[in-house]
Amino acid sequence: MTTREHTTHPGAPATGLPASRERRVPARPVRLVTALVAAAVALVLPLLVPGWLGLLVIAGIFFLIVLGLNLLMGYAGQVSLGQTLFMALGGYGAGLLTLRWHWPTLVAMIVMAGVSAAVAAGLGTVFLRLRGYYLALATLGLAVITESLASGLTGFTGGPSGLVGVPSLHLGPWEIFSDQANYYLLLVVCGLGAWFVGNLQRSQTGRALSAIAADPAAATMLGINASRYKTSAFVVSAVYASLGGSLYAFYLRFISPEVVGVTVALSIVIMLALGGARTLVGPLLGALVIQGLPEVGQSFASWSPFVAGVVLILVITYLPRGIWGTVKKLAER
Amino acid sequence: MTTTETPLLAVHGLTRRFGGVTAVDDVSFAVAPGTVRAIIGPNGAGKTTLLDLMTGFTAPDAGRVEFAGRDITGIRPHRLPALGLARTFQSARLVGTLTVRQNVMLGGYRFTRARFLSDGLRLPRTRKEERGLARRADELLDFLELGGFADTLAGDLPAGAQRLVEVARGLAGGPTLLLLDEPAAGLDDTETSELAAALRAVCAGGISLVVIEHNIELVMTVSDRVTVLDAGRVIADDVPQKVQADPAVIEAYLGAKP
Repeated sequence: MTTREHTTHPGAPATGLPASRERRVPARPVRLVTALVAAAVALVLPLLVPGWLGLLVIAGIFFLIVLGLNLLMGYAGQVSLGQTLFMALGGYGAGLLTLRWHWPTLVAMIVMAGVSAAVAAGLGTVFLRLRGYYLALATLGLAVITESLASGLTGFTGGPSGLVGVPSLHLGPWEIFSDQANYYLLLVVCGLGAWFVGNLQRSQTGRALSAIAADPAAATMLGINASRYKTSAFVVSAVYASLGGSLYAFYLRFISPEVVGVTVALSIVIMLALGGARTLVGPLLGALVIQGLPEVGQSFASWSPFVAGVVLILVITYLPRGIWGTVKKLAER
Repeated sequence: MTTTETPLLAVHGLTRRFGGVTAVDDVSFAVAPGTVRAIIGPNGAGKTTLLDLMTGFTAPDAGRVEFAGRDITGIRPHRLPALGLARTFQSARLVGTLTVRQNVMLGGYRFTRARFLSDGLRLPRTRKEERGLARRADELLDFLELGGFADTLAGDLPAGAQRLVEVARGLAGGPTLLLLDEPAAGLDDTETSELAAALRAVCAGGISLVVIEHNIELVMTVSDRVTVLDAGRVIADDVPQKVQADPAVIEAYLGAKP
């Protein structure tokens, strides 16, 4: 890395351009106020709907995972149906490290996020050469392998009945045990996660990812190394999914093949499409809707995959930008 | 350092065959610093293939490309901007989901050092680079009289303005050579003369241009030298007035398009 600054444009010939002028983009206060209101609502929510905390924790975990996928699929335009691989690495990895080898929970979670990043970097160089349907199918293969390994490696993963007795997350002297504690933890983690993705989106990295999604050849001609960016986006999405998997295992103190099954892999993609890719609120809406559906009525629970499927078809057909993308578009008018 | 005799870009005997067809056949030319070289020819003459060969999108079967005294034959295209070579495409290929300013900021990519972590954490380096990129983009947009479009989504612009934005994006990388693939395609007369004026202004700023074009009007106004391709071969290489009068050129054009 050099420390050369770009502002002076070294090597660029004098173009006789007019002297620079500072231009400020307004609308920052609006965003700040919106964020503050959202934060206030999120803080008091446990007092308003204490019965929903469990649902909100799970929705928060999926929000985190979908946020990561948003970077890869929404911005960089690369489909991954295999995010459950990284959920499994995070969930089973942290579960086993703490249960069998008594690692500190936080260390286990961070180490597994690193392992997931390394696995994604390795897989990315091979997988991200594929395009469109081929990438979708290859990553779907990952999801299938993940589920079958989770139930097949009985001695290691506990087989179909899962890994039971995973400890709760410990942060220094505190044990994150109750629904409420998990809720506030997720609030912080998701807030940081959304802030990171939001920062990426409005910087040169986000623009480079959008350029790769729009037109790889044109992106290349701007000096963008497309394969490196795609791999980096895949790595970040893997870290998000891995953290989500670990937090899931620590919260429920349990993880099973069902949690990292192919159905879940698909529903992560559905959450993104439903809520609205290329936005930060979309993944939250998608996670809330898909996780909330079975809770709306217990009698309705067995039908929730059916309803989710119908909703997906309707959204993709009539609201291709997803719920939040459509709201944003309407608000701009 | 380059003197006026040393060409900025030199193409030696470039050849590319596709099956039995020789799309580009032993093409050579040079571009002096600060000049405009037009490459014209009927449809299928091999113009875009030539550009692809020069920018590493297609590997040549024979021949060599030298840029600023360095052999860039078969280079990976993403390395070119750092050397000072930028290119636009036949149809405007802006990022439709980004605004015009954001597209031009993307053009300054080669000057960005901030990457994933710095951008994600919004470190001071990223903030500083963002300010510089935005300022530079606004300067270029003003220069090409596109300032009013800065916050418009690129996908919503009329075709003529998109072309100009692509030129601005190319310039944002601070190139010494800009390759333009049919910049006037689909433009009306007014837009074409605006483009011609913009290109002359760019050239006056010391940037060399290679312009692939169908529009003879534009070629005659902006270029210092013209290469005429027909069926992959160079049939003329001269100043615009002489090329226009060349019987071989007239035959290639009028023979192909009566």
